[in-house]
Amino acid sequence: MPTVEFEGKTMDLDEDGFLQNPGLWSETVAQYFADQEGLGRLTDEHWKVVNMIRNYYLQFGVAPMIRKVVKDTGFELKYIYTLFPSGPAKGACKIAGLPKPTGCV
Amino acid sequence: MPGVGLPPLEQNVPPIALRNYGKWVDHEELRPGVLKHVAESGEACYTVRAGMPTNARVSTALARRIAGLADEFAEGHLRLTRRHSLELVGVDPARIDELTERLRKLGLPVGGTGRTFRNTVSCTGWIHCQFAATDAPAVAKAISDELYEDFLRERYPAKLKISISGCVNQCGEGSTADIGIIGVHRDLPRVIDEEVARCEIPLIVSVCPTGAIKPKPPKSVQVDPERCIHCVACAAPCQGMQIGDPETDGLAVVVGGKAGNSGSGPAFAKFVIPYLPNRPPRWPEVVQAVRRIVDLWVREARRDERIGDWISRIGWERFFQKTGLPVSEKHLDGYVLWPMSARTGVRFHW
Amino acid sequence: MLIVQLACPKCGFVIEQYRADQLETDAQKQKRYQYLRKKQTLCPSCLTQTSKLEERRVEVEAAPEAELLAEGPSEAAPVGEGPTATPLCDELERGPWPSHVTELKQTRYHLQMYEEGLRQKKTQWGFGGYTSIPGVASGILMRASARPDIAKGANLVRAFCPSGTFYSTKTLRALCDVADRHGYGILHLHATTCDIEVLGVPKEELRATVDELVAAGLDVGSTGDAYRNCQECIGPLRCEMVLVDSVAMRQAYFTRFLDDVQYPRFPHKIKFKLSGCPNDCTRSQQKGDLAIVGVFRDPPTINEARLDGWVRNGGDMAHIARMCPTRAMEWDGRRLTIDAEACVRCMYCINKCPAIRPGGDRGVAVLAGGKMRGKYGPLQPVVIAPFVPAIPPDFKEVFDLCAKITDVYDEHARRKERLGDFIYRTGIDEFCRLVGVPATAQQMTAPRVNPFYHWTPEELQASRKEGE
Ligand code: HEM
Ligand code: SF4
Ligand code: SF4
Ligand code: SF4
Ligand code: SF4
Repeated sequence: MPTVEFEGKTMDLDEDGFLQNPGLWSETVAQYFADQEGLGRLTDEHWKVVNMIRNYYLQFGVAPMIRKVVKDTGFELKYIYTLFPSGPAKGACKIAGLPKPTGCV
Repeated sequence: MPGVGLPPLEQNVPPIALRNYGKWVDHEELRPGVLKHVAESGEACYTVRAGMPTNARVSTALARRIAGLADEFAEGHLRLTRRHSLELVGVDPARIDELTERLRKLGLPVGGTGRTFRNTVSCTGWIHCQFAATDAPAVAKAISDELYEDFLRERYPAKLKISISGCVNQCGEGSTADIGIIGVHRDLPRVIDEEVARCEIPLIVSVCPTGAIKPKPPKSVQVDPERCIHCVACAAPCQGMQIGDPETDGLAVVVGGKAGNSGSGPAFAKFVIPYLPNRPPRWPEVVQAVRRIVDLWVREARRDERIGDWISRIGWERFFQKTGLPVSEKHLDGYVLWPMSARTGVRFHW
Repeated sequence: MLIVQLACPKCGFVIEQYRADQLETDAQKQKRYQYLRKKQTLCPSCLTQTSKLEERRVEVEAAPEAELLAEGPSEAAPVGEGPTATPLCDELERGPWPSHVTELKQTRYHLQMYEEGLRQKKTQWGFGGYTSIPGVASGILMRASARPDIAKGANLVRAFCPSGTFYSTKTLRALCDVADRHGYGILHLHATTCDIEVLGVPKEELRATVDELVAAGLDVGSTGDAYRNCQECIGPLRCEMVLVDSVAMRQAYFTRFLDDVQYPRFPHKIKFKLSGCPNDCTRSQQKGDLAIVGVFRDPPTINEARLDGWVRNGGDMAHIARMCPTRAMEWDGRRLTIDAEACVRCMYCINKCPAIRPGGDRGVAVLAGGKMRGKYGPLQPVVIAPFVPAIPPDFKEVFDLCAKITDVYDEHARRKERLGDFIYRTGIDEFCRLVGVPATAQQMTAPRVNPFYHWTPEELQASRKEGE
């Protein structure tokens, strides 16, 4: 299992680079993941999505449905895909420190 | 970049189909595997249909050979049917025999139209899937070998479609077909606590249809063995829910499914053999069961009666009696939609 | 040009051939050639197992048929892995039906994974599923290996089949090139939903694979919780039954919904199937989350002259009349009549006798909620609207209704709840109310038998007012 050292903490990642222990997440960790994804500096719009997903996850224990993300952030789906080119699941959830949202095919 | 959608028709559709778009008036089957369609203009279009390797796995080597044949015999076009058989469309009628021979040399039998055994549909099974309780491609191959002659010749009262899936997800269908083979798990999901801790536990709990899964604090779940119906739903969203045991996995046989509205209308197939063990590489019990059902149907059904039609005429009582398949409480549906298959009147077949 | 052929010693069928000059210089071809010479082979033509292929050298004039040249796997199967390495797989090459193992053997798929599966009676693949890369939100599936000692995991890429599932050989060859370049060299033609699958693509090559497929005219998608590839029947391209233009309808689907197909956003997957007539060649009435089926309302028409001829040529009308599911047909040996009130437009007589054709007044029925598993097991889709006008080129009424149905689903369903399960949970009455379609007699096999209705306060209010 790959690990990264970050701010003195060792973080386990899964093979797709998702944080294994969501408790270790912080805003700097989010920026680190964003760099990994090649997004550069996170903008307010990125943060709006990331915070929405993270808060929902902390409240309900699951990633929100995409419709919910679209509704709560007010962004169009395609725009979210522009913000996070690997998509809300693989991109935004990773940056928000959620476990990998799964579900086959 | 994705985002372009479908290619224009002209790119792949042969000119004969474009010329007569929506103007077909008639068709007949000249012999198994050879169809003649006639358009308004009087133009005739000859199609040769052939079986493809089981599981629709095609190496690029074979695909290129097929492309070579299509260039030679069908003006550079080919088609795959909804059951994944191969069709060369617009063949010169004088060269059909030659084409049949060339296809045979590639190992592809010509047939599968009319009252025949059709190309099987199957899922990827142990070739490539994590859930497979049985190997659908191998079962498909064993059955196709057994019924090979019936693909070439019209020996049946109606068509016979067989579909095989490695598990109850039914990616390769099963319930849709005249005879379906469906892999079944019978063990309880094994919960790997460390893995489950990293999954979305509320989702695992909510996908279980019987409420068999309960959270187990701090970060795992437990499965109630009394309630689990081995449906594999919990295994899909989480790596930590593992189902499958080589000693108890196997497959079930369903019969009587059908898609079109013609005659009795669309219906799902019904479970007649709840469990058979896995016996790779050739699953002799399954082949034998299929053989027995097919032979009886061929002997007893009236013309145009698919297996489901035949059974609804003679009744399930007679079906079980004649096939010698045992009836058990596993045939009675106890799940949420159970009243759909329980009988209410006393109009019995004896 | 000198050609080296490996042929079946019994029937002479050429199993592979190489250009002699290439065989001398190309190490991979040599390896493959040596391997084939040592290996037991099943001749695809006469089906005999041969221990040794016959080598022949022939001089040909022009360039030989390209496809007969050994251009399959560029990486040769390892030498020394003789027939004993995969005895169970080899067994599956026996018998007359073309075998998937024979195909797998000609590619870089790791056959030992399959062999171990058959030996242990257990899949050797691990947890995989939907995945995406930047710019490709739908169309990629990850297949993980549970046996990294044998093979690494890989990805597969799904592309939509072209209209009518026709391929020009140019498209097919381009597809082969992509599969050879980036994958195992094996295609799934087709997967069950009629997607093309290119298997065995490593992560780094996904982007290139997708771009090359798209360049060949095969756009990718059909994975994840999105609208999936939509299957249409061959319809106008080669079928005389066709009532509505299924092929144009699928094109309209992709024009209108491409974003919904390529950007997953729904609670679960949604599979569309379009059939041009009630024969339903796409099996939509069993598997379609949304099933669109061509229907006609006027009774079947009878062409008297043609019927006479057909009967004179041995057509058995008495049998057809007997098999009509509603006994709507009357045949006295000379005249045929169809009772328009009894007939359910099932197509049986039309399929069997060319003198009977579908009637006019055509449109589509829209059904929703079919699936093969999910919470309540296999469910057939139920009729939402029995007749919707199907007007090309955009089939607006039909697709507006579909979009409305999936909007309601998107709004109200739970995560990973299929449309059919959602309808079952809410009830068909509530579902139709949410979608805003009126109830019709065609929607039920019979009206309800239980007396437990729901009445709204407004409905009660209305009665009170009347009483005043
Ligand atoms: C890793 C897990 C799975 C794999 C590898 C897998 C693989 C496949 C493949 C290859 C197809 C053919 C697809 C196509 O042509 O586009 C398919 C179709 C299908 N899958 Fe799966 N599947 C998986 C999980 C599931 C699950 C969890 C369900 C149920 C919710 C499911 C239900 C189906 C059904 C019903 C079809 C047939 C659809 C049709 O014919 O239209 N599969 N699957
Ligand atoms: S039916 Fe089951 S075994 Fe077959 S591909 Fe689907 S999930 Fe895998
Ligand atoms: S296999 Fe199905 S019934 Fe059993 S625990 Fe998992 S989800 Fe529940
Ligand atoms: S569904 Fe009807 S129109 Fe379409 S191909 Fe089948 S028979 Fe023809
Ligand atoms: S369409 Fe069907 S119901 Fe109507 S007359 Fe023909 S066979 Fe009978």
